[in-house]
Amino acid sequence: MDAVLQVEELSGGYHPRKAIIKQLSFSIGKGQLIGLIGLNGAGKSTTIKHILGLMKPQSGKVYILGKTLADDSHTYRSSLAYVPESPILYEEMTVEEHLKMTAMAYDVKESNYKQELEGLLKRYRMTEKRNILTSHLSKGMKQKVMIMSALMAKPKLLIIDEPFLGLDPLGIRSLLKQLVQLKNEGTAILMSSHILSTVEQFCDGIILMHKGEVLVQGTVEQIIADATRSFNGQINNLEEAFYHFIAEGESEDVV
Amino acid sequence: MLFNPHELYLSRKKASLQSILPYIRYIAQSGLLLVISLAVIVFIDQYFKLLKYTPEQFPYDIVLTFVIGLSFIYSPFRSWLKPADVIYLMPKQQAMQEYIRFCSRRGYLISLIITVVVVVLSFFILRAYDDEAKLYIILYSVVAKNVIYHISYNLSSLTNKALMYTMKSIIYFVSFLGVYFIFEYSVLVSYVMLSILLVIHYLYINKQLNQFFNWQQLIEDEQRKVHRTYRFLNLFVDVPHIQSVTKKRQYLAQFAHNIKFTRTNTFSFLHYLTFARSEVGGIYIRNLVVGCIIAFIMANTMLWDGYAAMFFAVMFMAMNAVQVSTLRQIHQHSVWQNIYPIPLTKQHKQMTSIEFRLLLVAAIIFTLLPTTPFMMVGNWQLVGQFAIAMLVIVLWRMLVIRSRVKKLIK
Repeated sequence: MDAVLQVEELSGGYHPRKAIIKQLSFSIGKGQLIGLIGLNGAGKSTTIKHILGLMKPQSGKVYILGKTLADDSHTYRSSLAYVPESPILYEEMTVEEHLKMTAMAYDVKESNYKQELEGLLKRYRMTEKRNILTSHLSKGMKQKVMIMSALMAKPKLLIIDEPFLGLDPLGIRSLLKQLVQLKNEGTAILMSSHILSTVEQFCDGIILMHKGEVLVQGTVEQIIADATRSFNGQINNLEEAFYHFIAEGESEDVV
Repeated sequence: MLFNPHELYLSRKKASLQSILPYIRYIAQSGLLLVISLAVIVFIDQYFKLLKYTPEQFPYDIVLTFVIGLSFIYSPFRSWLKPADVIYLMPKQQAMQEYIRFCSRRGYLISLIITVVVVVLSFFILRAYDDEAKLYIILYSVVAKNVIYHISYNLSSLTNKALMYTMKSIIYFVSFLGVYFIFEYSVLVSYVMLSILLVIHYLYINKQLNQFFNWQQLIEDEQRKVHRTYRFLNLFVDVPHIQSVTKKRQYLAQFAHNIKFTRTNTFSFLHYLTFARSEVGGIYIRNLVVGCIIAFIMANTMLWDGYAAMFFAVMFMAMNAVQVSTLRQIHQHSVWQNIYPIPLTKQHKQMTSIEFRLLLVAAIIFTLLPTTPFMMVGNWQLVGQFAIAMLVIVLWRMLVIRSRVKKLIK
């Protein structure tokens, strides 16, 4: 497997002597969609921030296409695109201008940009909103602009944090279809989500985080089998497996 | 702890002042205070010239009716109430009545002083009136201000908005017409109008007044006043308290599409659109228009041999230069700056090129438009001096911007 993203014994946090994430190791290959799941505060967002290069690891390394940020920041950054949990947009731009800026930043050819723009606007039903300032959009529409911008970048690695928040059912459907298409085209995707049924249905692999550590990782089938073995009972789906693994470290009230 | 309305009043008053002080300091630093001081000197000079050579047909009664009438209806009342007070202070409704009385007393005193100052200043023009007439005017003004302030204050506890607006219209009508009749030597008519206003108030309004003040109304009024203050300050400096307003400004934004579609222009594209659509663009255009008009008038009158025009042009150009350098702060903490595959040094280089172009455009406009009167008389020496002054500002700001960028990158 060609690892697009390789995380090696990564530890880090906001305080130099207190790690929020501890000794994380995982990798994502070309054309893989990996779900990052866990309770609030499990360390998912901190992990993502380290991968994005927004936080410096206390120890360990993050490689994208075999390069760390320090080795080759251009390859590292131009290979990845990010969709944050809450839309972060340049509010002085219209939808089209936002996509144009992303295309410029990622060195997309102008002719390809124009073609891609029409396709994305149509797919996300935003054609009529193309000249609207992003500050005037609803939260769901802002999220669509974020997703369209990430897709415009044609990344090798797409990091997508809680992508379904604020999207309408048609938006969710379009996004899932798009993710499957991207995956089939060879994009590696890391998706953090709380919607376990969707993760179970669409992800090739799962990373379950708890208290800053990887509690368990593997395919859905492996995780369910693992849970069945560990807890001596019939585990039917990811949700049940999730509760069993999390229950180990929590009081009954929490679970 | 016992709730003390006076302490709350003092702390809110102090907090209100402290919230605007930093902006006043920025305005002072940007040179605007100098411009205002000079404008005041020019105004006083022109005012005394007008007093000396007042045309016979000068409509002083109309002008003064307007000015004094405005001072009657102007209310500096501030409640400093906040939306959260509905939850935390409403249970102390009884004690808050006293708090509002403190606020009202402050508003009353300030507005009375303003009215008396306006009336006394107007006496310079009222040479046609004898001392007795002037005494009548002062007396009437004090009585009218008291009546109008008292009624306006009571209106704030009305929940019936239609009635409130009707009463406000009557107050405006009486304020202006009452002063007009005083100038027409119909003092009695003015007092009768005030009496009618009082009668209407006691017959129709008093019955509808709530026992307690109208929280919602006062909070809305307060927010409006705070917003108005910030909007005023925002004319000169960027005020983050105001939720940033993005305007489409297509006439400015359209030039962004002339920026070439390349990676090396990504942040120029962003930076220009941010300028065009944020408050910075609005302030830049306003400074350009106002500065050019004032400098042009000064150039036309050849005040201080034309150097007054240069002074104003330089001041407004400097204000624009300061505004342009605040532009990059807007997206300073944006996560995308650390995610897009463009090194920080190149991002800043792209931004700086836009800042330089904006300064250059302002410098050219400030050189060409206000100096038209000099060009007409062939005074090319002054035009040249204008151009040099503008270039000096451009170079000075570019040096400042570069040193800031260096620090930012470090």
